[in-house]
Parts: sequence; structure tokens; C-alpha cells
Amino acid sequence: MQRKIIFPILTVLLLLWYCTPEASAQKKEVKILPEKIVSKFQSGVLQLTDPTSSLWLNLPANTVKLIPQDVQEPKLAQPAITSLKVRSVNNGTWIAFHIEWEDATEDFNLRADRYSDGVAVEFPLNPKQPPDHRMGSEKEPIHLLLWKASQQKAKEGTSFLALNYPNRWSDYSPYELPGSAVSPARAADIKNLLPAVALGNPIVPGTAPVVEEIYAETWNKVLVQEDQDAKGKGTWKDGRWYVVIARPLFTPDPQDAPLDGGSSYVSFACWDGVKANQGPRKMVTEGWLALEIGK
Amino acid sequence: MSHEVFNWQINRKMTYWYPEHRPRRQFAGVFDINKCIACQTCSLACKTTWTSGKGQELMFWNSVETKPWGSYPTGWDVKALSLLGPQKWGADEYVGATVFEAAPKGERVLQYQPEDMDWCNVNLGEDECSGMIEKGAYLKIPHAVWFFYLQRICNHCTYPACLAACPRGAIYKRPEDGVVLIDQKNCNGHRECMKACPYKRIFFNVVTGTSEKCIACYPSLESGKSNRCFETCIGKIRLQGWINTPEKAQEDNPVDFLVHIRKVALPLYPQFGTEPNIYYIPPKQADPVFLRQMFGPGVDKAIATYKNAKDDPELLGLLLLQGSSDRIIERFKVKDGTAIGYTAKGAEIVRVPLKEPLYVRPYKDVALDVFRHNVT
Ligand code: SF4
Ligand code: SF4
Repeated sequence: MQRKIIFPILTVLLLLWYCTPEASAQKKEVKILPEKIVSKFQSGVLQLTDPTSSLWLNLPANTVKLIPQDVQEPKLAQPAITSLKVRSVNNGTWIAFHIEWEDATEDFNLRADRYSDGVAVEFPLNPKQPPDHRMGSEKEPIHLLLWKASQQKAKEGTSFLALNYPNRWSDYSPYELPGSAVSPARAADIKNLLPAVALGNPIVPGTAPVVEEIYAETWNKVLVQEDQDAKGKGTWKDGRWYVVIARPLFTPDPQDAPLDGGSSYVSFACWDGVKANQGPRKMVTEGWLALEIGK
Repeated sequence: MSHEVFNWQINRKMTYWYPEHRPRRQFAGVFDINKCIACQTCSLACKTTWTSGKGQELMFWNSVETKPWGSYPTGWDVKALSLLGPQKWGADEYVGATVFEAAPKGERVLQYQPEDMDWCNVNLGEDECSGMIEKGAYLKIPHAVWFFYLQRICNHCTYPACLAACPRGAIYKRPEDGVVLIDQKNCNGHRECMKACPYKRIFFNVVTGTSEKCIACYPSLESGKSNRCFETCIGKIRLQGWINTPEKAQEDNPVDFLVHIRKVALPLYPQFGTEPNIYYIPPKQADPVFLRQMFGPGVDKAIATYKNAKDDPELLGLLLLQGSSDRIIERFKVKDGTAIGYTAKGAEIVRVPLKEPLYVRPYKDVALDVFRHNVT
């Protein structure tokens, strides 16, 4: 008799809890889109240095639709880049994605009010059972390859300090004046004046790889991986970005999504710097696209 | 996600991104605006200690601006206030919306994106008074035409907007002292904190790509010593200590005494809802309407109490202890015309007389058989 009463009460309570904001925030949404990306097999070295090469542009492309990220605050209020053209090839050991989109401005500068353009390719760690495509979910991680225009520019030698404040004066700069070599002790001092550098924060411009590998298990658990194997390059030309992002199909790194099984899923995210897209303020695919890796 | 928390400065519950979780003790400061001379010693003490590195050229974690026209970053207060709209106080509580409650859908905090140029004019509007001085004007309190200095550091808020806004969870509030810090290893440079802090006390470093802020000189704080900007203050306007919530206020705790007991020190823009922990003794010469907007409805009483300090030995004694030591005075007592400051454990740190002793030497020095003349 008692059991008969308790069970419905518990069910009602559980239902009520399920409707609370906490519970709905944890609700995962796994969406598989009808589109499929086929990565064409191509023997030999992949073209990773010139994203505008006809080797890439002559390949068939998929048009991938993007929508504003609208599950996690801060959300993207206004749509930015609404579609990408995606191509993919692999040579049996590496896989590369060529991503092209229309963007009237090349945004790579970094300062308080400037944000960078960027694009990310994402895979589920478990290719059989993909989690929520936006940032994974607890114990169901995703593997992100993030390319940012600012990181590439910094790697190529752009100093955002010199770019934004050419006439700046730093009191301790005399140690670095041309002609006076910086001693190792002084170099350590200079480094310590930059806490993020001293702590090895991988975001520091010029230190991060052009394509950063990230492991995410929900929005609060986003880790830059220790092992960084990905490569890439972006070129902005005549109002369009052409970006190549490549990674090995298989690595021993447990934080990397395995792609050597011939199929998985893939999703994309894109940031438009001029519209202050940054972090979760991004455009995303509506779900996962099937990924078929040709052999 | 939003949680219901209690904010004693607006005397009501409000919503916040995280549940209420107060630190074991909360770092706090009281700035007596009446005594500041805008020498900027505090700003430079901070600058040379913490922000002399590359990418920090435009950063002043401590700054002193002239009100009503000055601001750093430019227009921070005007922008935040106009964004928030009318802010109404009821009989005992703030009835308008806080920056958390006014956040648009899809945002955690009401915010705006400052421009880089806003940080380029550190002392804009210095010493500019509120209006033209009319012919025939004479001195009265409050002054017909006025200005005052506003000393600003991060408020190490109880409900930090910066912390709520960070999508990475890279900002934390230390449980041992309530100091709010950005983890420089995990900050991803999203600048959500910079947009969200209504006091605009977050700065972006273009060399590291991360956001940086005042760290409340935590290494000195941990050893019982005052922060740089408190210790070096020429005007002795700053008092550093720990604040309790009003129901736990202790009469011999200097910050509690000024904030909760005498209510002479008030938070800056409490209506933002972050429960800031730097408190100000409002300037008695300025326009009370302007001051009420800044410090809430307690301004008139605070000024009246302050003006009465000469007949209030405890208040007078504590005001004299301000800036009298580089150690943090955690307890105080006024006895027999002397104010005494102690450590938490009761060890005496400093004592100051309520009245400067006056010594009058006899006109003739008998031992030397000379008259004491001023011959210069
Ligand atoms: S003043 Fe601004 S930066 Fe400081 S704790 Fe409060 S919200 Fe954060
Ligand atoms: S050091 Fe003291 S008196 Fe001088 S500007 Fe700073 S707060 Fe004012």
C-alpha cells in the first residue's frame, strides 16, 4: 500500500526537478544532421600551406549551415557567419579540412575592443555515441581543433603591442633596447612580469600553436591539451577566409578523438571578430554531421 | 543559472549566477574622500609594484579620478548608470534592478563593451569643478560649485560580476579572504569579465592575451601588512581590514565600526548589486543629490555623523588611526584621549593621541642663560 503511494510521489518530484533550470541546463541534446562530409582519400603529402590552392578549390564542397550558439550564456544574440564551405581529404595517416567562408573584414587584432576571427572543427571522443555537439557533456568529451587568426598572426611575428601602440613607453624596456643584450637573469625577470607567460598559459599570443587542440567535457571543463599535433593555416583574400586544419587520423593521446575507424561525426563553429564573437558567442552547426573517411 | 542570494547593501534578496557563498572573512577598505589630495601616490605605488610589465602600459589597478567630470576608464560610471536605467530606492531597500537582474536574455550580467581609447586618458577631467563660479560666490557647505576625488581599486565584491560572467570559470574568490582573482593560467582572454564589471576594474593585456585585475596585494595581506595603495597614502585616507555582515558586526573591528556601527562609510553604487567591499566616507562639500546617487540613501546621515566626529571620541580616534601604520589594524580602542590599534590577537600596533600634544617652552633657557628667539 505504502509503496503504491511513494512511487507516484517520487515520480512527480522527479518530473518537477526535471523542469528546474538546473536540470534543463544538464539536459543534453544530441542532434545528427542529414548531411555527410566525405573525406576523400588522396595519397601523398596533403596541401597544408596554401589554403587558396586550386588543389583545394577544385574539390567538391559541402555547404554547412551555422546558427547562433543559444544554449549557454553568454549566448550569441545576432547571427554572424551563417554558412561554411567544407572540403576534406586524407592520406591514410593525416586528415585535413578545408573551410571557406565569406567575411568582409579580416579580424586578427587583439586589444580590449578587438576580437579575432576563428573557426573550429570538432569530433566526439566516442565515434559511436556522440554527445551534445556544442561542448560535449560530462564523461562524454569532445575534441576541438581551433584555428584563430590572432594566434596565426602572432606566430608570424605580429606584436599586438607594437601594432596598437606604436609610440608606447614601457619603463623597463631599456633592458631590451637594441644593442644591449638581455641577460638570462633579466629575461626571467621580464617573464615574471607577465604572469600568464610565467604560468605557461597556452593562450599567450605567439606561444600557442596556430591550431590549438582542446578537450572539452561541458562548458566549464575546457582544457588545452598537453599534446598538440594539429596543423593549419588561414588566408584571407578578397572578403573570404580559406582555412586548412589538419590532424593525424590516430594518435596515442587519450584526449584525441580516434578517426581511424573509417567513420565518426564532425561539427563546426565559427567566430566573426568584427561582431565581437568570442568564446561561447559563436556560430555553430545545428548538430553533428556524419563523417566518412575514404580509404 | 540563477540563484537567490542576500545582499545586505540593498537589503534584499537578489539573483546571482552562483549560490551565496561568503568567504571565511572578507577583505575590505574604507576611503575617507574628505582627506584625499589626489597626489596619486597610491596609483604609482600600485603601478610600480604590479603593472610595470609589457602590455600593462594603460593599466592602473588603482586610480584616482575627479568627480563629477573625471573617470577612468572614460565614462565608466555614466555608461553603467544609463545602461541600468532609473535606480529607485524604497523606504528600506533598493527596489530597482541590479546588473544581474537587468541582464538581457542570453546574458549573465548587464554589460557593455568599453573602447580601447577609454583606458588612454587616465586622469581626464582632473580638478575640474562642477560648474562656473558665479560672481559674488562665497564659501558655504555644501559648496555651490564643487569637486572631489574618487579613489578606486577593485572592490573585491561579494557577488563579483566579473566572476559570474566568466564562461571558463577562470575567476575565483578566495575563501580565506574574499580576494577576487583571475587565474592567469586558465584565463582565455574572452573579456566577458571586462564587459560585465560595472566598475570597469578589469584590464586587457595585449601581450599575454589575458585579462588582469587588482590582486589586493595578497602577498602582503597574507602577512598582516597593508596593501601598497593603503600603506603609501599621503593623505592617510585609507583604512584596511575585514568586514562582517551587519548582524555579525563587531564594535571593535575598525571597518565594522565605520560601516555598520556609525554608518559613516558607504559602498559605491550599491544598486549595481555586486556588494562591493570598498567603502567611502562621502565628501561633505559636494552636492548631496549627486552623492545619494553614488552612495545610496545613507549619505546625509553619514555626513552628519562625520561632521560630528569632534564630539565622538571613538569615531575621531579611529579616523586618526587611519594610515598610522603599515600593519592591518584589526581591533581598536579609544581610551583616555588615545586611540590604540591592535592585531587580531590583541597585540598593540600603534597608538595616537586624539589631540596633538602642545609643548610650550619657556621664553628663557635658564641652563644656557639665553633667550629663545626666532632669529630667522
Ligand atoms: S569591482 Fe569589478 S573586477 Fe572587482 S570584484 Fe567587483 S566585479 Fe570583479
Ligand atoms: S595616496 Fe591617498 S591622498 Fe594621495 S591620491 Fe591616493 S588616496 Fe588620495
